[in-house]
Amino acid sequence: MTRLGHHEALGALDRDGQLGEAFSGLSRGGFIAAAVAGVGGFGAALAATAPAAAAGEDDIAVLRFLLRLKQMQAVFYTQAERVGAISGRDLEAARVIGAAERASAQGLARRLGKGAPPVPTFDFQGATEDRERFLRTAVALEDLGAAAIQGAVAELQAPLLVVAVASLDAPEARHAGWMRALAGVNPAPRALDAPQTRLAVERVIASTGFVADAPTTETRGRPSFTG
Amino acid sequence: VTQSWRPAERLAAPAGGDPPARRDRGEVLVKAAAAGVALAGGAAALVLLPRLAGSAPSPEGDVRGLNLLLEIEELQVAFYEDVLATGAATGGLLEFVRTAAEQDAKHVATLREILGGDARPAPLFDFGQVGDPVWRVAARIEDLAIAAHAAQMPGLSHEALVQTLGIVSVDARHASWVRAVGGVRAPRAGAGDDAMDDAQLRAAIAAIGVSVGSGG
Repeated sequence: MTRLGHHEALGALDRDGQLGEAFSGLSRGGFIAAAVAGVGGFGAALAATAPAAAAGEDDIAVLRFLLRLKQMQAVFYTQAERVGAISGRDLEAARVIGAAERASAQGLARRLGKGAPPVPTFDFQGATEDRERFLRTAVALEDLGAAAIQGAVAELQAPLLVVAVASLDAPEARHAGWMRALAGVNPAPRALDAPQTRLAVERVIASTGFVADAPTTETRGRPSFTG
Repeated sequence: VTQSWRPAERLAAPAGGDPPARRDRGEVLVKAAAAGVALAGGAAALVLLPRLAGSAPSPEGDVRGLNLLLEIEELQVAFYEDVLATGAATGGLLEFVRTAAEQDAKHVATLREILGGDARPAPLFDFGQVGDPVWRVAARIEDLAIAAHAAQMPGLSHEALVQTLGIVSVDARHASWVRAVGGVRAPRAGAGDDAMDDAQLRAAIAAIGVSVGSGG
């Protein structure tokens, strides 16, 4: 099996070096120390029993960020399934993982209610139309997703949300391992997975150019695939 | 990895939590389970619900949860070392076993570093009665770490939860990898993972054919 790290597997997407930079940015220890230092409101949030009261503005922002990421993954797999360029085990994985990502996106959207951002228009720039590009992009998206979820868990304050979002991590890492195995790259390139900050992940997403149009209202724009 | 925090220090410190807050935590965590079901979109996460009511983050929860995860990681390392010693793996499976043995040993070292003096002695494992193929046993014991962590999450402090996610996330990668080696698709990719408490874990380990004895 070919041994490829994050940097090489992400190479197909890395237009201006920002993906590789994001994955080699903050050290895990420093990130956790910073995250833990910011948990001052944690105890206060624990006392709240109503979900609406437990989720502060910062937590809502984290959920909106995760929803955008899940929307991108969901639409990616839906589009790959419909385009028809993949088959066999690849198609099976796209179907299973795509269903999981759509369910996660729907769950987050329900939790956010009216605060949920609408689904943007995505342009995967051919990545759903070719097997090799599909696999490389899927690997990048799942690795990014696992790092983003771990970063979100560190950033969230309401215990209700910390545990709920943490439960998304193992499935995401299973997806990453599965897609890496299909792509023929090392499914576990490191002994410890590392979280990424919201800012770093947003920079990665922006660098791909996959988000073609991010509507600011429910009525503007209409995605070609809604997942 | 920087480890500036020790459960032992927490245990030695004066108790800071007040009873009303603890009660509220329980209620919050039940709702957290419901939110988890919604986010994961799967019925599997429902398994968490009954176990959450009595759980709340605490230093004791950290020691209990981290030690349970430590024991599963030690089981994984012992199994892979046994496979390597007996030459029971070749080709792609051997590559997996070598990598997983090294990475899970790193998980053991990380957990022992976090736990410090609160870490339990490593048990002794006997794999003489294991009958399943190596890949199937490996998939099962990687799943067990995820299941153990899922059950312990509500009792872990925020920092311990974040620290252990990096470990369990790699176990999830292992679980998918070894299933690919075994020629089956990754299971449970669609939803949350089952949560297993201590008794369920021990039953599952026994069902694989592993005997667990006291270590030193």
